[in-house]
Amino acid sequence: MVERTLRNILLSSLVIACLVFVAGILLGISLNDFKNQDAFDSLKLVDLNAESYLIEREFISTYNVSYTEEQACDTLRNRFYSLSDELNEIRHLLVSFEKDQNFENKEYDLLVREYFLTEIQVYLLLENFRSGCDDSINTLVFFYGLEGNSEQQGVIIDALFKERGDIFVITLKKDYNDGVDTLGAKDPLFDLFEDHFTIGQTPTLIVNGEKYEGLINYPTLNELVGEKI
Amino acid sequence: MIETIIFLIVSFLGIFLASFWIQVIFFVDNTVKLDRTYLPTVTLLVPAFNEEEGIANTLDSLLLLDYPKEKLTVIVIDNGSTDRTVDIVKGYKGVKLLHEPKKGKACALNKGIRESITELTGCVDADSIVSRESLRNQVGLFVSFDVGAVISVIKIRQPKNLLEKVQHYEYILTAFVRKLMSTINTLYVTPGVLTVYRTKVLKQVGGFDENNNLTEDLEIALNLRYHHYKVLIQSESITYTNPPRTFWAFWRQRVRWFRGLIHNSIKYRKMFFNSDYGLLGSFQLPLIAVTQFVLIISFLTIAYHIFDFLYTKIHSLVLLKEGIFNLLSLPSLTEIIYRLNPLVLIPVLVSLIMGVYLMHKAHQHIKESWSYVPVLVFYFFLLPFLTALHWFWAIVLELTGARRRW
Repeated sequence: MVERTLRNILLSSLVIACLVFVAGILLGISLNDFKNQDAFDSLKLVDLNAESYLIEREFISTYNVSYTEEQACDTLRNRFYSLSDELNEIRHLLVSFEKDQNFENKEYDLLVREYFLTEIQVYLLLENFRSGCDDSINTLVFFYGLEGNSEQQGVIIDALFKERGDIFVITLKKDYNDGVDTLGAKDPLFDLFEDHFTIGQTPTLIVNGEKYEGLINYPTLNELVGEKI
Repeated sequence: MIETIIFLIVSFLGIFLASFWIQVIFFVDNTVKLDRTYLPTVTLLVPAFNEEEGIANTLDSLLLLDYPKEKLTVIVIDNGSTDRTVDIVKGYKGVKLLHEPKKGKACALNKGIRESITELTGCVDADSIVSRESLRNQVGLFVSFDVGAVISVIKIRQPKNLLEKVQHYEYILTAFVRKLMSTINTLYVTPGVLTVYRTKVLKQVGGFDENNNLTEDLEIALNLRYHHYKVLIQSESITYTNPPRTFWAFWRQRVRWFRGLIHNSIKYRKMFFNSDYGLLGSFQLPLIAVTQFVLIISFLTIAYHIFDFLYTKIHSLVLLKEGIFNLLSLPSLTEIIYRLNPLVLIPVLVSLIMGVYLMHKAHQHIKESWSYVPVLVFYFFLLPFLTALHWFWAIVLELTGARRRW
């Protein structure tokens, strides 16, 4: 009698343990959906803001009713600071998301593609802005990898970003296309962008168009970026 | 990825085991008959080697036992003490003193067993204290002839420092788990702090292992189980022990225990996965191997990650220099939500709740009130880590054939 009860208990314990794990998996899927949706929404907002920037620029150059050239540049610069903050926030969310990725998440891979594309799009807008307004917004392109000192470099860039507030940072994973299998997550533009800067190792930084390979500490990077605006 | 899988295995095992024991509490009623009128003759053996500090307290508590004096014999077996142990023992009129020149606790105990002519023989560590009613409660469980030994509930005597308080919780939960193991007949330990044996059975199985066994009390228990004798626990029999007070004493004790467990598991390997031994052979004993393996792998993984994390953080801080203060901001709520991983979080929460519930039942079981509650954090999160380290080192010592010594 006792043996039979114990056998039943063993079996039900196994079932309970499995149920707890199934609950964890289900909740995990729901939470992932929420995270994906939330990140997509945030990226959509950046897209909209970028589009709005383009229209605003077009509007200014077409009518130029009351703005001086300086005022126009100020307005557009503020747009970039705002875009920079939004991208930075999304970047942090994606890093948090990535750290607890246990299993394949196709939506996440697509999300990262969307994010990198948005970053490059905004970067190109910024380059145009810099030539048009002769402006000194500092750009910092950070190519990172999973090995080496990329994590430390990320911490340093974060600290600098918070301190200065006048840097536009974009981060791209080196050889990103080689690391994803999800259909639609690869993008030839990433390889093109990487080739343009001839990236050989990580971390590599492009500070205002100048390439620096290897880990750079805080004071040196601060100096490279230049005077605070 | 790999660490998540290990983490999940640990959580799965934790939930499975906690769920198993909780169900045993509710659904298994295997109460052993207790005959309070059964008061056979008993010899209590106290092996002693340089025990001048605590032996007087031990003997005082033995002589105060609520048990018919004409049926109780107390024997101290001196194992070559060089301090005042012998002088102290000589001061007790009701205590017989023997000498065993051959070194080792097992040799001393066997000397006492050879002298024992009573129906039951108890073994008591010379640094332990027994409660008045403990022996009377224990002997009442010997009504069935297949009972080979009855152990007591061990409590920590006046825990003072953090390590002792952590052990206080450990002993409470251990007593409860032993009670549950006793209920399903899988108990396989007979600690030195007052265990009573059937003398005839002790002699039949050859007494304690004198062959340099680090945990002779575990060996004798497995030996009894090997010969199909039951080992029970009497929850109303309370005894007290002095735990290791320093980290290194604790380390030495645990490594010795685990080396003994490895050695004796190999010695009685035939019992593993052997259905002749019921749940003990098919569940309890294999579980030791599985849990310890998982524990060590977890430890190695966690240790690697802690090292990696610390290296990255320290390296970053060094590189940051004056930028260090920019890092002192907390993550946003969204970032925290993004970091949540229910697949890890839920099993951990569930096993933690089950663990706290078992601890609550354990306190009820031995009528102990909750104390030193903050210490529970160390118990749940630090002790398993330390245990893994002890196991790791014990395995290394066994594999390298390091000399076995107390």
